[in-house]
Amino acid sequence: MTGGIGPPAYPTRRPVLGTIEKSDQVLRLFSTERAEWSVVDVAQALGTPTSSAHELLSSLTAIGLLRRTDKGRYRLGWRLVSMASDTVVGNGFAGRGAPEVRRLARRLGHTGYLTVWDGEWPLVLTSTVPQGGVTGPQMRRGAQLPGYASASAKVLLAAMPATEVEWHAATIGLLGVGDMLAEHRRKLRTTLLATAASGFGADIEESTPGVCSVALPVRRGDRVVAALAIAMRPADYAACDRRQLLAALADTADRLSQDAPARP
Amino acid sequence: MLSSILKTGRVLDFFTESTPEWGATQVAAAIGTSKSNAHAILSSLEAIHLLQRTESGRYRLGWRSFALACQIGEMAVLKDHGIRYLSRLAAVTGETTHLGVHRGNELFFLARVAPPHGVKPKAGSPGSSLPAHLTASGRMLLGALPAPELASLLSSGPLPRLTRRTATDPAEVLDRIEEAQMTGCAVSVDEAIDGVAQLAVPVFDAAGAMIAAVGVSMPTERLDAFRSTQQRKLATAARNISRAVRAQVAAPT
Repeated sequence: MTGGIGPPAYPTRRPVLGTIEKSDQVLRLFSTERAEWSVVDVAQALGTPTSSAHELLSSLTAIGLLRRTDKGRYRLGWRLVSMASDTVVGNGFAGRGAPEVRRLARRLGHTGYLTVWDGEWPLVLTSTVPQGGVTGPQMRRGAQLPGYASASAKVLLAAMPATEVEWHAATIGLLGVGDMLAEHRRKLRTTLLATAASGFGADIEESTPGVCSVALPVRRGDRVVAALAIAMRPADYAACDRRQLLAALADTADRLSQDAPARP
Repeated sequence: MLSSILKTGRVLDFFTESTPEWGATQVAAAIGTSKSNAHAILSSLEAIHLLQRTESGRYRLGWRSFALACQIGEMAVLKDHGIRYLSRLAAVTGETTHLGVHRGNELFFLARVAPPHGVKPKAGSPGSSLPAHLTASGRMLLGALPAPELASLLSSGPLPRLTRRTATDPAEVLDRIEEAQMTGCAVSVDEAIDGVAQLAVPVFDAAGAMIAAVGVSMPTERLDAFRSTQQRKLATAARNISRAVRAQVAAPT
């Protein structure tokens, strides 16, 4: 992290086009718990007339971000799957993120996972739970980790400019509950400075009771592009050889940091 | 339709595996708009994290699409169970099997299993896509579209041709799509790749909507033998995947 935490202004933010902002609001409605929305439901949720919601949903369907069921309701579109696939390829993780995490998790006998910053939260790209490894919804592919307490979040946030961290803290809250208290921000600042100095992030039951995790950055050149983490129970963490654990993580993180080989 | 969203869709189309990075000037030229307008679209897409900005000020796809794709409940089931049943089907038939979904006017391949003597064209690898009208799986899935939408898609511009035998006449393509709906099995012979034939059958979700297609690709000379002795196994694989989707992704109430 560079510099101190300043006022909550994220200087690279630009005004967002109205239709794209509305599209974002629509996409946020869809979840695994509520996968289908009708025009009327969307209009109510957005506080817009039904005709506007219909126009928005039809347009998002036309470009594949949504699909319409034969009952006239809407679901997230398959285009997102192809975009997700292109994103994984474009960021050099295709065909090697999951195998590397699997090898590491099996070698150490603990849960391994790889996360990236999705713009607002740390997002789990891939995870492996070996026999007896700790598990939970937060370890699954596609899960969004607690904003700042997890080891992966600390690694990803520590690499961001201070103004950006402050913007996230002030707007999203990094806890998912809105603006963070000044006391929390100070603690976050200290934690991220320590993470940047040590080169790894640690989470000793901060984000999930009964789970300790350690994470290292995955880089492309000077940029941190992902965090590689190992999670285990507190008793295993207390008993493990920390130096060996970090060396194994560093070994895998180094391989993932190398440029991706060209795809055949 | 909102023209600004359609334009946004065109911009997103540019970001592919082979052309992952675009700058505002390039995008402006490609869609015929001003640089400031292209910049407004790109930076707005960055703000909602569908794009990310590189250090050089260009743009790439952002991780938001991954997060959203993981919210598609059928996706995980299709991938996990799809691979299992595709592997079983490939093992018992000796032919290459694949699972695809429909995206705009393309067929997007989610998974593929190629046995030792199966065909392994680059087209059809997981994450790749082909024009829907010329593949068996694409034809099967196009048949699930409402008639006006299908008509508009087939008449929106010239249909791409990949081989000498590719059907590009919208009326002819429509005939083949209708035939697939009637028989429950779509066929494409030498239309995507010379010397390769495909068959495809549908996968349905809990609400009975067609959400994907299971296909099998083989050298064209093996098609007749496959149809007479193995086609039943293709239908069984699709039924098993549909059952898995129904069991794990509840129909909305």
